[in-house]
Amino acid sequence: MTAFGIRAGLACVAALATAVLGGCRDEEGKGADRVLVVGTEGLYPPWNYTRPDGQLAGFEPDYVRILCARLHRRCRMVAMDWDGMVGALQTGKIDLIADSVQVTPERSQVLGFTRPYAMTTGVFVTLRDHRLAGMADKGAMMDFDRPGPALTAMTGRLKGSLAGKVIGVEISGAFDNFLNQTLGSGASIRYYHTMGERDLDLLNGRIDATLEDEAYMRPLLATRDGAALTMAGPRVIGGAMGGGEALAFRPGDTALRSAFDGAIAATIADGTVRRLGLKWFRMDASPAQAAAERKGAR
Amino acid sequence: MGGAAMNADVTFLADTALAIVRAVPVTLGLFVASAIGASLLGGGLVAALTAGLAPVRGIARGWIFLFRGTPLLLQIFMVYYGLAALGPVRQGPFWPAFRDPLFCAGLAMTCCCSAYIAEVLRGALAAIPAGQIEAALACGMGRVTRLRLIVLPQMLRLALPAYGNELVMMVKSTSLASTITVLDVTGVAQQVIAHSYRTLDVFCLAAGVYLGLTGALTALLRWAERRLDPTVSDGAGEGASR
Repeated sequence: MTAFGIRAGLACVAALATAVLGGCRDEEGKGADRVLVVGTEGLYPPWNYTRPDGQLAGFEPDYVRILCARLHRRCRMVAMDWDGMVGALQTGKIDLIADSVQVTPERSQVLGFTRPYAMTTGVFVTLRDHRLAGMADKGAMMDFDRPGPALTAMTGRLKGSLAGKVIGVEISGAFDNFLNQTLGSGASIRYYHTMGERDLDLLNGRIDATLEDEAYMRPLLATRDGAALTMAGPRVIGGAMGGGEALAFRPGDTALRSAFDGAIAATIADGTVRRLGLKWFRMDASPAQAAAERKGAR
Repeated sequence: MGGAAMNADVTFLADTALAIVRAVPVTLGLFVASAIGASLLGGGLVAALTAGLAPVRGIARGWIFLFRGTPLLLQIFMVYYGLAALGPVRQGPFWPAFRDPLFCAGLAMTCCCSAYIAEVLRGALAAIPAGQIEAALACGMGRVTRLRLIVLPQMLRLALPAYGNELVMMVKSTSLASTITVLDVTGVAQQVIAHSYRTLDVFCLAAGVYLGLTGALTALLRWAERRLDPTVSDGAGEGASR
């Protein structure tokens, strides 16, 4: 290549770079015009999943669209692994997380949460023909935010049922913390990086049971593969499992967070959240519904 | 305030280091088991490669082609998730073994690394001068004596550098077991990261543990190489003049 050629080439690259950078700046904008990048997993149906055509769908993509429209903000959802999502938020690659993140005390130290837009219980799921399928307290609500003799007794029975069993959970999920604190070394806990891998091992019998969000499990149990599975034992809520699902922001992003917080309050009040829950989970997953159930259980 | 934060950091790093060090037996056990398995299998493969029967040679060649030509990660997934999807495996007598992720990782590593070790040993075998075998034959040595006195000692020495290299690779390959729920050094590091959202320092600690393991292994191999080197013989110094 001649010197001229090289120089021309460099000029082209420089021009291209300017155009691309300029374009990006234009698209992303500044201040209130900036496109908000929303991180989600895209692998957690029906909360959020990726359609065969690559489009994100589910409760959260729908809900984020509604919230952004309400706030007159442009938002773009991107899919990434949960492992790296908090890091991506901290380094500014995304502006908020909408991935059914449970509000827990540990997470509140590194994330700024809105009020919860959903509150769901955890359920134990096992194979239909497994001994655990007949676990005590079937369907009973265990509310770890309301300690008392009833909870203590149920916890004892739960520990007894799960003693020596292998329980699979998604790593760093809220249920992972809960199991560690509640069962301690009584059961062995196996960690999975994706729900799909955990579900496979549950179906082929490598793990005895899993503890998972009811909103995730209900639709799975309705599928052909899921027919071999069943919910067992009590439903659990509160305590280390957190205070419901909320959007997560960088702790310093208070203005943005409070704008979304207001929009969430409005969409809960006008029934939008309830409607979305019925659409995606076949149940009302709104915090008010959970509060009513928890009150009834007492 | 700053002091408290630093104390929290020190506590976190100490706790993490302890958790990671506790996982060393898993990593080490996986390495030792699959290194022994792969070495024996690799030796068997070389024996098969030099066998008179063409089908036996073919099977050994096919094995090496298959396991050297596909990624170890894929092999681990195939053994762990793939085989478990087959009913006969799940209902078969070996399911208690295949149910265990550590066994699956060890099996995949044994198969994969046996192919590499076989190639290393084959190279060493080919490097033994033909004249020595002819001389041994001329002395009237039988097959077993020839193997014991001429072929094996030299093969061991010739193969050692490449074999050692393979072993070091194996130590690091054990980290792939963390993808199938094994809580080895990498698995524990990932678990700590998932709970603390801290990446760099935790991965650095894990890397330090691997450096320690490979460093010790390298030192051991260097010692063995020196022991087997005829020019540094600790005998009467007959070979030391070269």
